[in-house]
Amino acid sequence: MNPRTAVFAEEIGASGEVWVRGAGSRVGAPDRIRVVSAPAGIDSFQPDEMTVSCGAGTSVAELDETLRARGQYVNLGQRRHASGTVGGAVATGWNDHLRLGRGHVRESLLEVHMVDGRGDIVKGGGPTVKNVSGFDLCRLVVGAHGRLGALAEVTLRTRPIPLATRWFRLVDMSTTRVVELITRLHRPSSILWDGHEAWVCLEGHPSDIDSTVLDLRRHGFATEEVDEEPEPGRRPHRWSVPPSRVVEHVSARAGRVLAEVGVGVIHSDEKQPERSIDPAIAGIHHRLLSSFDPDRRLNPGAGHLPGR
Amino acid sequence: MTTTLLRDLRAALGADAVRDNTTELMLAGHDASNLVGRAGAICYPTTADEVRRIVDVCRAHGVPFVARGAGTGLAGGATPIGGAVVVCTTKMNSVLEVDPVARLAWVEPGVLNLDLTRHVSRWGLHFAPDPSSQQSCSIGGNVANNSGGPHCLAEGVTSAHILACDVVLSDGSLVRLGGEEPEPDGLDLRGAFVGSEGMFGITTAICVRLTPDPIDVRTMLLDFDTVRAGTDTVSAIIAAGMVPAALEMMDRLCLEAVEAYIHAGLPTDAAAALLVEVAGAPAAVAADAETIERIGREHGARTVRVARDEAERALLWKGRKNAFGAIARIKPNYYLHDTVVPRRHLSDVLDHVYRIAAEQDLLVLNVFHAGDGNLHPLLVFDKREPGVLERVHRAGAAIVEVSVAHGGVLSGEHGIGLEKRDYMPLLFSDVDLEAQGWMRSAFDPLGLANPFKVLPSPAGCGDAHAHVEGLWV
Repeated sequence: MNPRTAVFAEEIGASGEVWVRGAGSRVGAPDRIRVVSAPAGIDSFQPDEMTVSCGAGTSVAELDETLRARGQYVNLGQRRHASGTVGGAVATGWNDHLRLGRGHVRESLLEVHMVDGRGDIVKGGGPTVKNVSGFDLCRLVVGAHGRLGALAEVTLRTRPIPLATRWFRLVDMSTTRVVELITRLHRPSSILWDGHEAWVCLEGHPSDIDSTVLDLRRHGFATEEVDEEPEPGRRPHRWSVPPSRVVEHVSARAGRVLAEVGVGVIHSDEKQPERSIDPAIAGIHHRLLSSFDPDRRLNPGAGHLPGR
Repeated sequence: MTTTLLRDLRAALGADAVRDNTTELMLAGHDASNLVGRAGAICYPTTADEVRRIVDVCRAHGVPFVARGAGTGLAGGATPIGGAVVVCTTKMNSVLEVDPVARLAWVEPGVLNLDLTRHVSRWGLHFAPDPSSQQSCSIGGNVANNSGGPHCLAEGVTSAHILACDVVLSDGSLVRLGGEEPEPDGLDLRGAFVGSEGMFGITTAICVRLTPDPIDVRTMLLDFDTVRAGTDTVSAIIAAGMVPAALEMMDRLCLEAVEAYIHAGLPTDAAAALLVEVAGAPAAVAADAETIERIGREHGARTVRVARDEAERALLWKGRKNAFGAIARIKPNYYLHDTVVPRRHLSDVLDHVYRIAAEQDLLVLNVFHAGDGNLHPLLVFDKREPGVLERVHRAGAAIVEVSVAHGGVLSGEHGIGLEKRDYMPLLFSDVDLEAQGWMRSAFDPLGLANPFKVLPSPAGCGDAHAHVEGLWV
């Protein structure tokens, strides 16, 4: 453990509400609350291990630059939010629209050191790319908005940057055609669809991408390469639906939404209706929060988690 | 086992679904490890509601329950302690639903791993985690252990392939953790549940993510004069920006045992061989295969054998996946270890493993997931030899210690169970372990789900420290 984590723990202390501020780019701190910042800096990057360890306060941009120099990246949902800190990306667990191919942000976290509500330093996971030693605290921490502990240090799994990343626009994409598209593509990194047009991200060897495009055209898909995809975040609300129900949702709102096909996220101008929470699920949340932060002093209220 | 508990279980499930005869109790008293416990009764539920009824009876009697899939675990995770009720999910073995477009399936926990892949192969899909036991291990067991397998190097372990689990908690409630939708509200309870070794509840239905079969596959065997040349090749492949579908290593003794078993023309005079598979789209596969061959030769590969067809590929994989069966030709018993170390320390740790085995006068074979740094030293012995179990025990402990000393972890895919429970303090502080205890208590405040595993006392909260009959590891 890096000695600066102990300093951070002292700063967090054992009492009083405290807000861990990254860059403040995702979620701003509320008024009248003590604000602290997590340690920053890359401690170790091992390209042949495909792991990187850094302070949670490290900027995503700095991390990206360091990894890019060795042909690697870490999936922190940068296409949705490229700025901010590593800790902010892990705490929110926000995924971007390349999730279909690149996986979930939660799969990037291998090890975490965090400060719990009592001011103690808790470690979860381990520094290796594979590890089933004990319960998987790392998965619980991603998306917990710092409510279980203030993130101090993380070790993340890196991946090789694909040889090529290219976007294509397809027109006249009816419901039938989009289903055909899904089954025809082998492993696309993203399929966005608004009910009329679709945008497909293909990554990998350039020759494989060329072959895929040829195959699409041969099967009647009007496919045109574009410099960039539409910005999903232009629509303020995200709906989360089973991927099998995307088609019916988009068909009913064609032109007014943008769906991540195969994933189930729908970007919309309308807010998704609140979903009810199973009381037993709320109970598990309540017990977790009561153990990790009995006084609810860490990032109070962040993330609107179920359970009191 | 009290008569009233048995009576209540039979009233809840029917007489045929509750067994307490000596033979079945003995079989349910252990998994595939050498750890033997004691089952009080064995229940065979067929529905989630029956699982819930078993849990209700156990709770009313204050008796713990242990979920059991196919019993292929290697860490004693399914070993019942002190007369616990074993809940065997083998009769919950249906593939409930497949959505080939959304690439997901709902399955019951007793579905076997390879059966699921065979079932969905008609759509060009498969379930990516592929433990060596995939012909006999269950999806429920894979969830409990967050299982891996050779092809998890590129695709990730089980957690990355589980979207949701329906779970019966110890209070009798049936909850859905996660969901088909990508962003369920709240904490990732699904992620916490996967790998919880049956200590958070019993899963009754699982939604899995299915992976498209690769368009092209290239399987290669590279052999080396030294183990270090092989492990250096592994690091160089990863550093070159490739994540092969699989990157497996076998040492000389293992090659000899496997060759005698399957006659695949393996290089038995080599110190080590790497089985490398690249999979995906054709141009990427061709380019990666070429680079891997070049890197291998730069690191002293003597030969590079590329499987010419599916039959040869299957033969090479048969050798890898059946290595544990092959060693029966050497000695009648084995103890399979499982630790992970950073890839750059593979050679040094393997040197230690050979030294440790020699010091304990034991034979060791190494066949492992080199790409993840996941070691599987296989200590072979004849348990009829006086004192041999103690030597195996000492060697096992030393291998764990040397792995952790090199920045490694206790287990890559077998889990902690009983086997490594008491090693947890090597990796975690009391505070860390207390936090893991909180996770357990949040799901199972009553401490009835598979107690005494994973967490050494007192972090196990309500769990008393238990002794296992016949425990030797």
